[in-house]
Amino acid sequence: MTKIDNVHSKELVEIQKLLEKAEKSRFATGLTPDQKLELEKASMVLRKREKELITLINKEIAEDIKKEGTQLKNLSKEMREKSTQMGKNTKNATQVKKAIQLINHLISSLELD
Amino acid sequence: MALKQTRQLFLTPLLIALILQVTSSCATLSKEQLKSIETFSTACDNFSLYPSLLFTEIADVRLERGKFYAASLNDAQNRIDELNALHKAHEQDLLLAAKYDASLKILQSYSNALNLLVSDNRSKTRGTEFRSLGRTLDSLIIEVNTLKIFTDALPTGIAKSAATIVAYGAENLLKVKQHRLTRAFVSEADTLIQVLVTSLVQTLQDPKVAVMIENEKSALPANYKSFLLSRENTPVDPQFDNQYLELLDRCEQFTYSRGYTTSAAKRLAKTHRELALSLKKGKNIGELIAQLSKLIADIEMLQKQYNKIISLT
Repeated sequence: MTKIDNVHSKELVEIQKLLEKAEKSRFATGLTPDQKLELEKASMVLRKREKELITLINKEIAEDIKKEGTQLKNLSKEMREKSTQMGKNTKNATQVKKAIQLINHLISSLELD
Repeated sequence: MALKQTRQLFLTPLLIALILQVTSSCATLSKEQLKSIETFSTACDNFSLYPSLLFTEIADVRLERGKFYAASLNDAQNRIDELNALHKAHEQDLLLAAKYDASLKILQSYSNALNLLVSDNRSKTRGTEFRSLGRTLDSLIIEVNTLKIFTDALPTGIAKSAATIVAYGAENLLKVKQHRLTRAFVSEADTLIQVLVTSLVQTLQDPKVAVMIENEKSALPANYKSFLLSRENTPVDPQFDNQYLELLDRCEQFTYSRGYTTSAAKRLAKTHRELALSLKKGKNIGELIAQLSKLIADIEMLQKQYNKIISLT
């Protein structure tokens, strides 16, 4: 089971528990039609919040990647280091890379003019 | 403007001479290497179809179980309000899958570019096609960066490389030069593939995705119970029980789909690294072929998983 340490995720779990109770009350015996309608509305308020929380968590899933930027930067750095190390051993491949980088650089400077 | 044209006039032949000189000592690709590139390209294209399906599937199951809840409401207006809210929420849910799809189109374009580079059918149109793919890849990367899905902007150097290759005359390239360019292209693309796959895997492994999966698993029986309780005095058609069981099965598949997608994505990045090394360093082709076999097996598992889900719907 995943540890839940996110505010919205925790609230979602709580909402599910509340919905369970609300549904139990909504279908209890001996309720008047008015009481049934009121409980139905109360249940719908909880369902609305459930949907809102899911939308918020969906947005957070996309945004969470931003917080992991440092890890991505480290990875890119590591890859660059590996690439440099490889280049020392493979002269020709490095030459190709250097040529492409040089041309890219020159074309970029032309485009900036 | 005139200065720019003059600079281009003088620089272009210089650049062509420079690239031909520095690449002149590179060896051509072996048949096994060309075959490996083709196999990787197909695997890459196949893989790109699946990752966003997890989010689409979660959204679809959520919509279906929501219909059970809506059907449990007695008041007509309440039921309409709930169905409208469900429709709106489903659209929102699908946005995440769409964002995922945008980044996966890069993999598809890259796969197309690789196929074109190793194709035997050399023609005068190749340069035009490759230039067009370079532009497509560039626009897709820019699109993904605009969506700000990932903190670090995806590198655009790969598209520039594609354009550069064409800029000095891809139309007239001989096979030998074409192979050298393939080597450089794959090498340039490795950083892009690694960054992209890392980001895709991080999203899949986000604990919030697990929370969403668990929420569907617990909400489905609760919503179906409400539906049954609302019909306490009326016999319920067994087709609803079958529908419930089908949704339950789909919920149970979420965790497997997530796992298979993560494994295949990691394998894709690892295989690309092997491919780049094999082309760059002439590393033992046997290791690359072994990685490719594992990648194909992982993607086949993914295909089987989604075929199973499709058979449930």
